[in-house]
Formats: sequence, structure tokens, C-alpha cells
Amino acid sequence: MNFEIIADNLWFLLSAALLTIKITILSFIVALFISFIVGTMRCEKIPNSVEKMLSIYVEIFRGTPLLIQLFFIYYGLPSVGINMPGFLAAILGLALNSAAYMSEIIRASINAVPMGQKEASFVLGYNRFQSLLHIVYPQAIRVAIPPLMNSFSSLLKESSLVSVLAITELTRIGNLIYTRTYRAFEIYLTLGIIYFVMTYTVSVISKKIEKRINKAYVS
Amino acid sequence: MGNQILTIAGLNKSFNGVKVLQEINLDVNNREIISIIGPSGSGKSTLLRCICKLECIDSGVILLNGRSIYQKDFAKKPGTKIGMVFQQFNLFPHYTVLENIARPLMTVRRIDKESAIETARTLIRKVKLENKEASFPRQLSGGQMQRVAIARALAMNPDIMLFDEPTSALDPELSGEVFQTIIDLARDGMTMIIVTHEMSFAEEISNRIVFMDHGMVIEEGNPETIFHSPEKERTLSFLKRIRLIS
Ligand SMILES: Nc1ncnc2c1ncn2[C@@H]1O[C@H](COP(=O)(O)OP(=O)(O)OP(=O)(O)O)[C@@H](O)[C@H]1O
Ligand SMILES: [Mg+2]
Repeated sequence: MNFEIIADNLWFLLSAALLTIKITILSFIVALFISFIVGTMRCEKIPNSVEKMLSIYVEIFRGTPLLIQLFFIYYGLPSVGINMPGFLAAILGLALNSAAYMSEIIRASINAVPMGQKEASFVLGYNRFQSLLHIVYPQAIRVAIPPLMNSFSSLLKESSLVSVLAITELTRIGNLIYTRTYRAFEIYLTLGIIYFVMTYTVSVISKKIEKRINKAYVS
Repeated sequence: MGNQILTIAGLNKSFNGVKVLQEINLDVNNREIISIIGPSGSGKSTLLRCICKLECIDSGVILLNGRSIYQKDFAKKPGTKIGMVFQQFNLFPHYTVLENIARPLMTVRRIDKESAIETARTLIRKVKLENKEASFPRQLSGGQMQRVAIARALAMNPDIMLFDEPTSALDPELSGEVFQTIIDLARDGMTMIIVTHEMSFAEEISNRIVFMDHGMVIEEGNPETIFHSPEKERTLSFLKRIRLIS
């Protein structure tokens, strides 16, 4: 056992953890944006062909490994002339993958708002957009927050995979320290602890938010 | 006729090929109160939903103040507005009582906040819920919720109010306060179409009763005639079934 290696590289590891957080938050924001659009569209009357395309997107990204998606975006797309830096490929891959799951959460949450709410707003003269913005979303978001927090945790852990795109996030830095020192036990134990502390923090925050939502709804 | 507010002529409506409304003709005069009665599934709700454009129709015309409700600029013109009150209230749970009434005015009519709140307060007083304006719907009784729903519809200043079984979701002792609110509206001269299973209320408040069965208007007339000496056999057997005439 030699934890001096960890102490020596602590600053290195913590800044890598910070990058992991940045990647997670950035791709989560992009995923939220995509999933709201996709989830909302799939609840509305849209042309069949568009609905088909959206459902293919969701099925493909949920039905294939994230690792393959990342390789495809970073190494595969250049063959058809689409080049992007590793960081962008990482954000895009993570966001597209999470959004496939999150759009289903958004869709289910919108569908959980009773039909009568839309009808009441329509009879009062709201147009579709006003009805979504003022009546449907505020109610759907309450339902969506707990599972979305869950998606955030998953994203945090899955961001570990973008280490294969040579991005110096937490896992990549751990691997680099390992190839210099060969202290697998200490290094990977530390990585696990850092990831756990991060996801645990997220779950504590999400429980607090859930409690607050429930309180507002029950009282 | 001059004072006709709503005209329905030759209205047909089907769901997936099944005819739900057939050749409906109905004229509603200014300040008239019409109750629609009939067995479950006879198309009463569907008729109201067609009038407030929650359902599209197969054929026929619906005119409000002589103008088709399907005209493009229908909702924007003054004097072409329809209020709807649902069985399940459908209040917005994330808004307070005051917001339920004021927010639609701000969002749809673009009325500034102060005037919207002023209008909302006037209507809250009208339905006697002064001490509840800051409550959320979940903190109200069913009868109170329905009165808020009525106030919310009234805030849009409609020419006609539609009620779809406004008391069916309520305990009998709470129905009374909603009936009272509707009676107050009648006294103010509001034109109304009420779908209800409460026959004594219908008889008391209505100028005219419309009996529907299988998507058709079978018979219409004043309450006295319909309830005590209906012409049609189907009306009679329906009333017998609900034990009004033995
Ligand atoms: N969205 C719909 N899709 C298919 N069929 C429908 C739909 N809405 C209503 N119907 C059918 O249309 C017919 C009339 O229904 P409607 O709700 O208008 O009856 P109702 O007179 O209001 O009955 P109740 O007294 O039970 O409320 C019924 O046979 C019903 O099953
Ligand atoms: Mg009905």
C-alpha cells in the first residue's frame, strides 16, 4: 500500500474531477435542451415521418453502447467530412445518448399532465405554445425532476468513457498515473471514491429537491 | 329572431366512423337557459365540446352571434366568446385561486397585471370566495373548486356559458353552493347551456329542456311539458328510468 502516490497527484486528480463535473454539466444542459424538444414533439400531433425519425433516434441511441457512439462520432464521422475536437465529440456523444433516455422522461411527464388541463387552457383561449409554456411544462417538470436527477448521476458516471477520446478527465488522469506508477489498487480505489462522493452529493441534493416538491404538492 | 346568440344547424359528428351526433339543430336565445338531459352516452358532452371547439365536427354549422365559430379570427372579435365549465373542474394546480382567474387574462388577453387582479377579485367576490384567493386548488373543497372554475370562465367575459355536469363530481351537500352560483348567474342574465342529471335543478332553472338520446335531439320544450307530459315515448321511458315519473 502506498498512498503517497495519491497525495503527490492529488491536485492533478482534483482538477481532473473538476473537468469531469464540467463535462457532465455541459452535456446535461445540451441533453436537456434536446430532450425537451424531442419529448415535446413526440407528445404533439406531428407528421408521421418526423415522429418516425425521432423514434429511430431514440431507439438507436438507447440500443447501442455509448462507447461505440463515441468512437463513431470521433473516429467515424471524419470519413464523411465531419471533424470535431475530442472535447466537442465527447459532449455531443454524451448529450445525444442521455437525451435519448431523457426525452422519454419528458414525454412521460407531459403525458402525466391530465388532458383536462390542456382542454381548460384551450377553452380559455391559450394557443398551443402558451398552453405548453404556462400550463403543461410547470406541471410536467415537477414529475420529471426526480428521474432527471437520476439521469444526471448516470451521466456523471458514464462520462468516464470519454477518457477514450484522450480527454484528461478523471478516469483518463487515473489511467495516466497508473501507467507511470503501476499502483492500480490505490489509484482505482481513489477514483472510485471520488466518483462516489460526486454521485452521492447529487443524490442528496435530489432527495432534498424531491422533498420540497412533495411538500408543495401535499400541504 | 334578432336575439339569437347561438345557432346550431345540421351538426354531425362521429368518432372512428361511429355516429355520435346526428343532424343536431339547436337555437339559443339571449339570456336563455337550456338544460340538456339524456342517458349516458347520448352525446351531451360531445355536443358541448363541439360548441367550444374541443372537438371538430364532420358537417353542419355553429354560429355565435351570427358568425361561424370556425372563422379564422373568431376568438379575437369581441362578442364571440364561449365559457366552459367541466365536471372535473380542471383548475390549474400550480396557480392560486387568484392566479387561476387572473393569469389567463394576462396570457390570452394581454391585460396588465393590476387590472387582471382587479377583475379576478371582483369575480372571486361574486362566487363568494374572498378568503380563499391565496389558496391553491388542492386546499379547496370540490364545491369551492367548481366556483373558482366558474369565476375563471366568467373572467373572459363570455357571451354564453356551457356547463358539463358541473355537480356530478360533488357530494350532494356541496352541489347546492354550485347551483346557487349558477342561479345567481341566471339572475344576471347570462345565457347558459347546462348538461345535468339533476332533474329538479334543471326544472327549476331552465327556460327550455332538451332531451337527447343516441346522438339526436328527441324532444325539446319548456320544463313543465318535458318533465310532466312529454310527447315522445323515449323521453317518457328515460324519465321513468330515473324515477321522476312512476
Ligand atoms: N374521444 C372519443 N373517442 C371515441 N368515442 C368517444 C369519444 N368521446 C366520446 N365518445 C363516444 O361518444 C358517445 C357520446 O359520448 P358523450 O360523452 O358525449 O356522452 P354523454 O351524453 O355526455 O354521456 P354521460 O352522461 O355519460 O356523460 C359515447 O358512445 C362515447 O363512447
Ligand atoms: Mg358527459
